[in-house]
Amino acid sequence: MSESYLDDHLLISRAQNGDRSAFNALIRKHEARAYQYAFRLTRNPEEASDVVADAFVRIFNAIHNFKGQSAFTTWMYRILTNCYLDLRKKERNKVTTSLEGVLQTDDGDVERQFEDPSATPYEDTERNVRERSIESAVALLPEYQRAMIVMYHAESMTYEEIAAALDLPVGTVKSRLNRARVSLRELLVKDEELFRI
Amino acid sequence: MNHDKARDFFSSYYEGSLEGGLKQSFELKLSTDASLQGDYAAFVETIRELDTLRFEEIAIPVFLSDRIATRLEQVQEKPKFGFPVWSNWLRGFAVTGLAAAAIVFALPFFNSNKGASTADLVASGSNLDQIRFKVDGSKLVLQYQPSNPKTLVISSPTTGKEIQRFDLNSQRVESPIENSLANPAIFKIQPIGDKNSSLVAVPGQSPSKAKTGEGSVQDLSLALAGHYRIPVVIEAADVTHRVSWNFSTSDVRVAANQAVANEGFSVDQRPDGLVVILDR
Repeated sequence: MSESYLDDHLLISRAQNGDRSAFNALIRKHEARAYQYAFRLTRNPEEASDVVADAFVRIFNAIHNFKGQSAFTTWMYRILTNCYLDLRKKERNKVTTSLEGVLQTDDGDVERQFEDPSATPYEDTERNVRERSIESAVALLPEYQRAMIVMYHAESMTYEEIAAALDLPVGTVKSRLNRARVSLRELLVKDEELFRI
Repeated sequence: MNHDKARDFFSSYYEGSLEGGLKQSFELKLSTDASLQGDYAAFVETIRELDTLRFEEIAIPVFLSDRIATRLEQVQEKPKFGFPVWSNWLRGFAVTGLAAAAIVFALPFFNSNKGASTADLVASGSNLDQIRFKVDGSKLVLQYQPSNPKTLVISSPTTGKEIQRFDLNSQRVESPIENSLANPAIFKIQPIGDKNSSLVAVPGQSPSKAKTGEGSVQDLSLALAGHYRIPVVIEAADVTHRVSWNFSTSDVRVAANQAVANEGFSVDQRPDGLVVILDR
């Protein structure tokens, strides 16, 4: 049986005792899931791969501190989110020129980034257009809201799991998610207006 | 309930978790406010669109595994001074017992004189061959720079087992020390060939409620570290000297002094919080 199918706790316990093959099995078991989450946050394969690689380095360095009080995946999501936020922070420190400026929201400035400009909505079915516009709108949310939206709606995590991953009270997660959904509607309305031109 | 307040309840109303008076107030506002009805209908549409996110097919790049492996290799290659890497000390603690397992020497920071700033050189020049500790935030950090090539050994004074060793030329080693176990633990740091060594008690993850006790100075340092959550360094010669203690005060320096004042020791507390027990 492949080690990738072993229980996380067993793999972690072996990794904590210096078994590098157990740590590799842990990577193989979770790298796809980690990448999907990172890609949904970044919408960029290169950046998503960097986020995942950085996250596994942090996990490697801190594996002996993992006490199993939460699921390994919850811990992984927390580290992935932190790596993603660090990446964005680094990018913000670089000088950039925005064509669209910023949109003010309750949770801070929203960067106006339009992804994948090469594809046009006219080439796809209406359903695909709608799906892409929701993905683009999610990409316009502030990072923390984006992470919550992806965790809940794409990764199917519960409020409690999100709270554990982000180290926030459940009530805060619920209220921030509500605010993110309301903000998203406003972004989608703007997006629809653009399509009408 | 005004319009903005009602929007705060969109999610909980949609999920059916809004109850009692709030639900009634929300429904009353919704039934009488056409603008809110429009907003709520749009909100429901957004939720449905969001739920399509999970069906997005995301291809995993073929280079992902390589990138992770390369990054991990880079991290493992960083320490180039021949000290045991992460996996080695993990293997090591399995045979050195519980006290040894308590400590986490994170990847140490080495600095040669070539790369040091002027301030570092001045500081390190005056502290050559001295084992020093500082508290950085909540972490205890070990600092050491030999004047000639030396091996620094970290061991458990209770079992005598070696936990980690650093082979140093004249680099400065700076290693954070963490205790990941519940109880405090004590460690001996000694350069091979030197008479002098340092003992340091490091708090564990759980505070100790025990206020009274008796034992050696070494036991006292563990009790202080556990109760007051502060690292304690022993620079006294006779660590087996018997003392008794009663932590009736919230001031760790006063409590430690009360325990050792009549026994030929004194206690110092540095500005960063570190407590030092030394010969009077």
